[in-house]
Amino acid sequence: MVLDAPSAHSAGMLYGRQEVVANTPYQKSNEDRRPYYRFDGGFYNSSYSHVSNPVQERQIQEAMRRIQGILDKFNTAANQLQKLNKAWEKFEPIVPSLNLFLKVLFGLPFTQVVMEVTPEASLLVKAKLHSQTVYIDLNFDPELDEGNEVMWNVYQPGLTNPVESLAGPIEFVVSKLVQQGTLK
Amino acid sequence: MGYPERLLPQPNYCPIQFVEFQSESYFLLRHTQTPELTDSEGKLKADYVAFQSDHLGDYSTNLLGVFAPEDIKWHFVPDSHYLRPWRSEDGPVEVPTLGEEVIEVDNRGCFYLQVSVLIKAEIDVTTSTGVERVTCKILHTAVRGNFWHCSLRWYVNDIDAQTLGKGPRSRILKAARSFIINNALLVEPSYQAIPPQAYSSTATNA
Repeated sequence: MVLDAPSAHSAGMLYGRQEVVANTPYQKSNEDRRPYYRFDGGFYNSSYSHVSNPVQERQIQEAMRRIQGILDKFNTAANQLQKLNKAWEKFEPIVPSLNLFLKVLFGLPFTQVVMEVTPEASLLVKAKLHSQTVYIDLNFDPELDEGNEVMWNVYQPGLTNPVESLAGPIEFVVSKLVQQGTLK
Repeated sequence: MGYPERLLPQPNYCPIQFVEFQSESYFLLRHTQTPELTDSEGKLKADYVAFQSDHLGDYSTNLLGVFAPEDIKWHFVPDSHYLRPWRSEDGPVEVPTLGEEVIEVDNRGCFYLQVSVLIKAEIDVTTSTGVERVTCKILHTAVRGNFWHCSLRWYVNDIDAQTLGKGPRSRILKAARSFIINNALLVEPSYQAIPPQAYSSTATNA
């Protein structure tokens, strides 16, 4: 299964793709070795060549590094999941949802991202968002109506109960986050 | 040194009701198979919150106090009668034989959960059909070989998660997992034992 990196919906996503190019000169063989995203149109365009402010440029570089880190972690975790889940090929139909999941990650300024495959073969993302801790538990299961379910939990420092908890198909969770302004 | 007698149920012991304990000095301890508890960012690894959906009602822990952190090394052999539930009418329990009924396992790790935090757990989960309130109860599930054994059980809108279908159960599992990871204490807290009146029918109130 090949997951396309999300197309350029946000600056973060675009820069993520550029970083891939910056770190890895495009070759067909590279594409084959990194199966969870694909290099396609536009990678050789220096689309941030209009940026002349060095501060801005540093921020962009920082964002690119962060996104690259998330991508690498996602690929590692996805590899583990694929090995664990014998029915992995059945999940082809939910690839668009996975892309949406990546979009969530790219769209927010997460730090300290850790991705783990849980004993129940779900993918748990632990991250900091500003001062809050966010847990995203993503489950792929052909028996679920939508084939996937995500739980989004946000904890504030000093509080033991979450300040936000959403559960449902990833489209539902993302739409809720957009509705409340967490995602733009 | 043999298996400590202080961990065994005594004839004058009675089941513990956790709802009565609001003090912040009481903790549960959960042992892990290895001492490497944390991920690269210092949070508890998800591996150590393995409920196995069907065992959601028995997330096994021990009440810290008489049960000390060093007691995590005791391991009862599978199918041992010491693992059977203890009932107050069972009478005295003999000390298990080291090497036969119980063995020592080195190099385990553990983390801690505050009793008052678990009792007050309230996770309001927004789903496409409304809001579900997930809560936690601590059950005293003493076994013949360990009076201090306890279990966490999770509820949705006051319904035991074990009685629900796969979908809701899976949601509770995820909510519980992040709750435990977020609230786990990875270093030994300053703790106290619960008062004997809470578990001994012959203890007198001070």
